[in-house]
Amino acid sequence: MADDQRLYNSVAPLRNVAALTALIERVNERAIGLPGMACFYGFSGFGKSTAAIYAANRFQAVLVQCKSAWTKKNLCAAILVELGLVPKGNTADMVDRIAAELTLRGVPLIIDEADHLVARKMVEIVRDIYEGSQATTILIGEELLPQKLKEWERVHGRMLDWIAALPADMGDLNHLTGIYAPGVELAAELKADLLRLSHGSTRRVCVNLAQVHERAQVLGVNRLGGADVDLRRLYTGTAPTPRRSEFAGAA
Amino acid sequence: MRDEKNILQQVAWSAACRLVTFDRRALSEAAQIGIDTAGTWIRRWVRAGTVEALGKRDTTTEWYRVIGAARSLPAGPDPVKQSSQGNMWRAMRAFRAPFTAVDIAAHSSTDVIAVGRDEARSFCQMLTRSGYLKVLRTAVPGKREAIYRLIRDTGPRPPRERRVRAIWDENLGAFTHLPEAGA
Repeated sequence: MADDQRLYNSVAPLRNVAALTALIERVNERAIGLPGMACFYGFSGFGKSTAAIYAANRFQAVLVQCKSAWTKKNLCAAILVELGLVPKGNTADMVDRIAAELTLRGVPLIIDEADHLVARKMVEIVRDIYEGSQATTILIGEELLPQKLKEWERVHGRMLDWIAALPADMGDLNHLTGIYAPGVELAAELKADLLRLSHGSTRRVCVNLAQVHERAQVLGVNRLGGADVDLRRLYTGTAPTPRRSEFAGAA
Repeated sequence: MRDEKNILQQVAWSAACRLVTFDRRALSEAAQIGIDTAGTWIRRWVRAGTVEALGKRDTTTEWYRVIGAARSLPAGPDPVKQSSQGNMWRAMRAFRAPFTAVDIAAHSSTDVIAVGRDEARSFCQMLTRSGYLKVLRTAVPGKREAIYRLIRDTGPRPPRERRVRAIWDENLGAFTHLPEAGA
């Protein structure tokens, strides 16, 4: 398959995916002595996790998604499982084994939902793993993650770069149209409406494009204008407005 | 345990290659291993001819050098190569929301691996048959994609379809021998 065709079917050209890929390449190729950790942050729905999945495939990276209930031991066990090793021993042993394996493989470590690391005071464990392995380590989290990491000076000082995720734009929508609504031509005003109602969320753009594609299949057309789609049925993610009491069944 | 020893030895060898010339203490610090362990491995490498002794060089310890041609030899296994099934399985495990085969194909195609929709669909179907995926919404061919959720995450390596040799008894209408699982 030709390269351009391959990229056409991939999320690689999306701007947040490209930003994370470029960030990992930059950290991988850092000069000796420069820190090897980096942070990719932004609001929910901007496609950070999508970017992480692509980057994990692109670099064969170890990707873990933190959970709010995790302890240090859970985090180490999850990383070991992703490395294909048996999670056993105490936390210190596991940190050493992770560091040795990451050094051996030379693959990056990507930690998604890294806000939980800060909330549960587990950031130092990640720094230990980085210090032991010198492997590229990317923390992905919400908009306030860089501010939260300021508390941990030893981690903050090891960040090579901080990259902010950006909202989906028309370029992203055009690219995703080829993936989620192939063979359907969308009118400019419909595209603008889709982007506006998706509030910059890549996830909502994908869901809405799939819905529009289904609509085109049902109508049996390959071109859709603004009037062909009921915009109220699109996924906006906004909470419903409160009902008036007589409609809500209240007395 | 044996695997762990091998891994640590490979880490030590990588450190030795980075240092080029080293003594036991330098290797111990670079590879974060015990000084006696460093000494044991250095002796093995000297016996294997990948490292040569340089003498004491005005210090109290013996110094060594990695022989040029050996530097690229036992540095460890090849880096993991991408595979379409590996990428698809990784994407499925990382997706927290339900997904379609189109999602999986789009997140698994990289600059070196192309995953088509048909390949993603057949992989999803294979995993559904074997109980790894649950179908949340069935597909309508040509109109909409099936939606799946991963319900059995057994680890980072992708499940693979394998052909097995078995013995079929026509009289009984049954398999009288199947290889052990995992054999």
